[in-house]
Amino acid sequence: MEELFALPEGEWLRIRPSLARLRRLVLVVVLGLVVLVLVLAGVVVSETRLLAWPLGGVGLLFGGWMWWLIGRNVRNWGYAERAEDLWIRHGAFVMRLVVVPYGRMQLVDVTAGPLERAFGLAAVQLHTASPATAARIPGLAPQEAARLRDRLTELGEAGKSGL
Amino acid sequence: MSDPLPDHVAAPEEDEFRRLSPLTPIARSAIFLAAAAYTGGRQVIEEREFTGAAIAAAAVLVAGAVFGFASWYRTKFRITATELRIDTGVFNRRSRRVRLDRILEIGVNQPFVARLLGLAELKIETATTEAEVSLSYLPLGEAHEVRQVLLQQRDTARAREAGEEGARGFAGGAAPPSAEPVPLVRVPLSWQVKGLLASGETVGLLLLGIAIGGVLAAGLSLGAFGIGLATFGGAAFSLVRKLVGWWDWRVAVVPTGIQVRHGMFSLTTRTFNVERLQGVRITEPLLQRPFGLARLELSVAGGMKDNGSGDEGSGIALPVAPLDLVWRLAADLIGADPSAVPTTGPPRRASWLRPFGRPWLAFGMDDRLVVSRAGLFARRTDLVPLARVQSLRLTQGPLQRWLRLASVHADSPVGLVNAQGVHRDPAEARRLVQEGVERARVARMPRAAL
Repeated sequence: MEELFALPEGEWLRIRPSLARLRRLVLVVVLGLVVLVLVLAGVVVSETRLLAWPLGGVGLLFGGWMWWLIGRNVRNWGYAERAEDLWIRHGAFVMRLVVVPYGRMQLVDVTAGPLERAFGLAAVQLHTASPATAARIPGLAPQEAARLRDRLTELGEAGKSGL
Repeated sequence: MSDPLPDHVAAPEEDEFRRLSPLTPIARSAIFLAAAAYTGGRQVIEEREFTGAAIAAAAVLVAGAVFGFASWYRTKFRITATELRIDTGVFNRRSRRVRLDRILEIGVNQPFVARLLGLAELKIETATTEAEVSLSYLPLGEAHEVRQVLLQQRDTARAREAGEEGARGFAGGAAPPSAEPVPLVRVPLSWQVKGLLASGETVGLLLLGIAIGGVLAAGLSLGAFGIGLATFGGAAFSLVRKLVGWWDWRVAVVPTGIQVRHGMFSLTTRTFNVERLQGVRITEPLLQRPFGLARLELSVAGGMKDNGSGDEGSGIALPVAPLDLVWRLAADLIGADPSAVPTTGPPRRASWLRPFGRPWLAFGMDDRLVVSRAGLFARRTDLVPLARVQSLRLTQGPLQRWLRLASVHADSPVGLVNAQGVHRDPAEARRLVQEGVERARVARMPRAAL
């Protein structure tokens, strides 16, 4: 499995582990709210706590699974700038590898939401003429995102041939 | 393009961040503003009091104004010799870079409110469809000026690249643009009739006809068959429309590619630019297969010129023709022989994920072409030149992992072709992707360099 998504040579560059912390924080807050509402609703409606326990249990199990998946996802995320193309590997449940020639790049976005900025993260997304390409790298340090973006625009010029 | 300015002449004074028109928030939220003002204002006037909805409306207005201002303040753009940079976002920040040589066209739009304020929106079109690049709003004069600068810079950038690349052959005009189309194929009436008879509509008509005949023979009222009759009419109408629309279908060669002309009453002419051809699809419908007929469709990126009416079958090059003719035309258009491409099917265990149609899945590539086949009923063969592939992907879902399978995708721009090899053996999928990356790199190189 690992070799299926391996780099032909060299090492994957990894994203920052703090992305997992951010996503887990969001997970805990959202799931906590949902479970809280469900439990309260159960208590109000049935006036017993019979429903509260299974609901909480299911919530906890699901949360645990998601927690594990987030960690795996962030660990699996890798990218590499090779001579002619950018390689990106990601996914925990569904594994994906995408190879984009630099010359295919139409535009590059660097994005950072408020939470991401609080965690010192930014994402780089490369758009080609195909919507299926989906070449996005989240969880980069802002300097690394800027470096990658500049490098990609620079290499895009060398690669040329837009369509 | 006529005066290739040296870049140090064109670039310098544009090298700073600029802002959009300060009236932008007003132009963007005019309807919203009017609604809030109306709600609040009406209450003030009717009740002569400044309470309730009025206060809420005022609060919304203030919040909207603050956000609108912040959004305007945060939005900046800059044009350099090689790229357009647009920074936006109050909470979610985004910095977007568009390479100038990738700009296809720039439109100047004036929605109603913006027009009242003398503003305009610049819509910058690239080959991506998923990301919208626009500058809204700029004062109309400035919009035209920015458009001019961008197009000029684009042409300079392109000229510079062309220079670096050396003389790339016939881009300028080796072939004299002779206007006369050279006839290539004409679809005779007999093919059309065969194609129409061997279609779902005809079968539906026959079945319905038999059913209605049976009902009449049994002496029942036809009233209950209202829906059946409507379907009958619909199918008949569809048949007639195809017969009329596809009447006298001709394919001709023009300097830029091929041209199709068809129609009994209204004549439709369409030109497909071969340089922009992203791929072709050959479809063999179930009912036409016994007659050896097929359909040829083209996927062209933004290069389709439509000088006719209607959008019926916009990508169709041949609606119905013998299979070998369709293959020959496809091979000529692609410029490679698709029958020489070795293809393989998924392993037997893929039937767990694709219980029907697994034997008809096939995928393969050679140095020039990606070929992918699928279809239990209608057989579809997609041909994509490797030089046009945008990216290569390898995916594996949890079930596939469990069954030791993986899928390969060769991504094309939006269009009908979709070259993919689903549920392959992982080792083979990996090999296809890795070889594909190398082969595509070679295929993209200009011919002269080989």
